[in-house]
Amino acid sequence: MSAPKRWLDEAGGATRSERALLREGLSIEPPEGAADAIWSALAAKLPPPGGGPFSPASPEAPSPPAGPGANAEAGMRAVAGASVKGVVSVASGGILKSVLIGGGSALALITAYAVITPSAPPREPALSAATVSSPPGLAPASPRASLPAPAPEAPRMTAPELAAAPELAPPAPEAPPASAPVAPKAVREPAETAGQDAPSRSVGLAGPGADETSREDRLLEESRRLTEARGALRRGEVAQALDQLEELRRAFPAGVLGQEREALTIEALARSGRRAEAEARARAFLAQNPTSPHASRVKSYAP
Amino acid sequence: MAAEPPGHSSHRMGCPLSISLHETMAAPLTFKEVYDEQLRFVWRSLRRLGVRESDLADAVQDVFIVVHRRLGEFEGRAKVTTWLYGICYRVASERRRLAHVRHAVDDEAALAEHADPQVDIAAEAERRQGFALLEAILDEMPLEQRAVFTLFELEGTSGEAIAEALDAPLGTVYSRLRLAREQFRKSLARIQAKDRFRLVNGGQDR
Repeated sequence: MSAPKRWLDEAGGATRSERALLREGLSIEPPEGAADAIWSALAAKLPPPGGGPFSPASPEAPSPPAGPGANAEAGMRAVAGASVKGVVSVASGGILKSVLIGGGSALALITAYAVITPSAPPREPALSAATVSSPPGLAPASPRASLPAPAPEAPRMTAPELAAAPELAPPAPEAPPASAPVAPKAVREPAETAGQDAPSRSVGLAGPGADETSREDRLLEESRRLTEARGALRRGEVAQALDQLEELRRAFPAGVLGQEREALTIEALARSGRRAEAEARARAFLAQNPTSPHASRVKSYAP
Repeated sequence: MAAEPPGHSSHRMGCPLSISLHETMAAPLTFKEVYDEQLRFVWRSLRRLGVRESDLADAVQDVFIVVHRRLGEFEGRAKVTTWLYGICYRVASERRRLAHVRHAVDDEAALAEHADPQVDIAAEAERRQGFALLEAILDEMPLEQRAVFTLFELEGTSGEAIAEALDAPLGTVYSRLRLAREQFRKSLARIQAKDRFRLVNGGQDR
């Protein structure tokens, strides 16, 4: 059969509007400065074995990146199933803030690499804080048996913006990805991992007070907390759920997820026995949000 | 990756440089060279495979970390972009898989998020309208179809080069392309119908 023509080709068989739609996907470029920023981040993660701007891996095994590579990859697959969550913050000036949530394999890839390189700079081992649980599979297999040794010491070093979250909590408390492109991201302070109710949670990168916090970070934070509250309610911890929802209301009074929060609050109130309150709020909710997707659910609390 | 003929005319922004076999053997690539020459290719490849803006920088790093580790293995292969795309595909695939895991964990939450128009608005505000529609359509393709489709239609890569990049027979490539095109049209029709419904009925669908 003859090779097909591209749809963008006028004789390619696509309609004009299809071609127009395709063209939207053509010009995808990294923004100004991204190339340099990513290079800097790589520099932090790929320290040169011998010094110099991470000289190319030579084909021979001696170069640390090459040898354990295969094992790192095996290890990566092995830990991919474990829902290791971590925060990886790129070093350069806050331009790139990123988090791998449930990014088990990608995170393990990075952190496995961090484990392997012998001359890891102080900042880097922070990444491997999340690998303390993961590289066991790597260590014995690696020809560089001595290399993983630094890893256990690594968790001590945590750059301010780097917080590895080694808690292997199920993904449920995380922000559900949903339709928001920002969803697979949440930014956490180290304090946040200390405990569920740490008040410091509202302070820091995702807190309402931070001027530089992007809108998507706030949305993520709001979403994450809502999911936590929902989880508490599902587990039957009604009082805790109510507390979390009230905190959420205070932290995000005009939050994007206000309807969700209110609907969940109403449910929690009803389940904690405060039926009159639930009913009153349900009626108010329905009056204010008659076409809400939550209306049918809320309606059941306002017979 | 470029369609093979150097005179390929639809250079949208210049095909990414591909290193010829001769050049490869004459002067091994340094990591920095690969990075400088291929960053944009990696960026847009990942993006077209569905990695979101917010994850893109991380994903790009993932790719280059693998590149750094395995550059030694690469020596002697014909086209660096072919090799690179395979890495991009795996990175994107892993991220997509994990995204689905997160989706599955809390379906109700996911539904609620989808249902709230305010969240959609927040998301939309971050993206261009037109690309958002294209992306919504591409999101509905299985990744292997998406890869073939975006390489063929957007990158302008030849079937043969795609076959090599994805390590699949040429017939499979063309078959996936056909399926991808069908899927594209189905998704487009469905999404447009849904939007019309929403407009006509003045509110979000339940």
